[in-house]
Amino acid sequence: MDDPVQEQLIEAYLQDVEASLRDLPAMQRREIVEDLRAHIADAMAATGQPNEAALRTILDRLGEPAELARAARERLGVPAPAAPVEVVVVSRPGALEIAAIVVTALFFPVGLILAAISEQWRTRDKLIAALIPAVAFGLPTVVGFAVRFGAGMDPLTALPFADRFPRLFVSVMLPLMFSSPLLAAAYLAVRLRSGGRRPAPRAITV
Amino acid sequence: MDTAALMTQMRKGALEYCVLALLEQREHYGFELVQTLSQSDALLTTEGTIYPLLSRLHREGMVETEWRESPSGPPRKYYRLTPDGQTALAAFRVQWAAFRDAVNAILATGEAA
Repeated sequence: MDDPVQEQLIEAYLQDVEASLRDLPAMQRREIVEDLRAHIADAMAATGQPNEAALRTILDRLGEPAELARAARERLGVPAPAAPVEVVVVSRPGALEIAAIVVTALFFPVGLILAAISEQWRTRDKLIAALIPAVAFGLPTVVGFAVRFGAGMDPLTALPFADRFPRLFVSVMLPLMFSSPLLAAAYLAVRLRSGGRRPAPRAITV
Repeated sequence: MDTAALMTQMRKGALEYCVLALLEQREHYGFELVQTLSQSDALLTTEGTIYPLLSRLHREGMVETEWRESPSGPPRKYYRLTPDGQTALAAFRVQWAAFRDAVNAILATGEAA
């Protein structure tokens, strides 16, 4: 084929095919392109009039490069590159997260609210962090009520828990209450590192 | 599933055995295979897709290839059936006959009703 216009058409077509097959192994890609080249030559030789119209018809019948590439992937067992790719966004903790951890250690109600605002923790981790001081502060009250109730006393008028069990309160409950904000802050700090990688809300098609 | 999608699936499955059957008669080069298969619209709509298929059949050892000079232009790659391809084709012939008969029988009862 000596016609430069036809040469150009063929090369453009084959380049398109090659480009859309670029995720295939180079050998297979080259093989398919060479097979198509030979096919075009044979088909042109078979037509009575090897003109541009004949060539365009041949290329049309071969198929769109994208369609060819799709069929090639299917036949050769190569996964389509158009499959949605899960994009993992690595977000870095900012001032809000640092403030949430520090304030949780100092005054946990406010710190935990800051943590709840942040998107750097999973909901589960926020709940666990909130439960740590809640349990530590709630336990004496709950246990106290239960004990008084069990003893047949009026829970509202009886002695407070701390007065009834001073040793237990000072040795276990009080340290627990004091350390719980620190524990919650430590928990948030640990989960921040492992929970910082979160999948993007929407998959992006590459 | 609409008819066009169904036909695409069936075509995809049957095409490779049609290629093997054509090669059983004699060796062919790519364009020759396409010419024969394109005579029926039911088999090959996007002609270029035959080449990835031939490439796979070659890798699987169903066909072997040989380049030969062509009187009209660049060299041609000829495809020939291998013993493995022959075996696969024979197995498909048996299964296809059973499948065709079963489907025909059911379709016929549907018509009669």
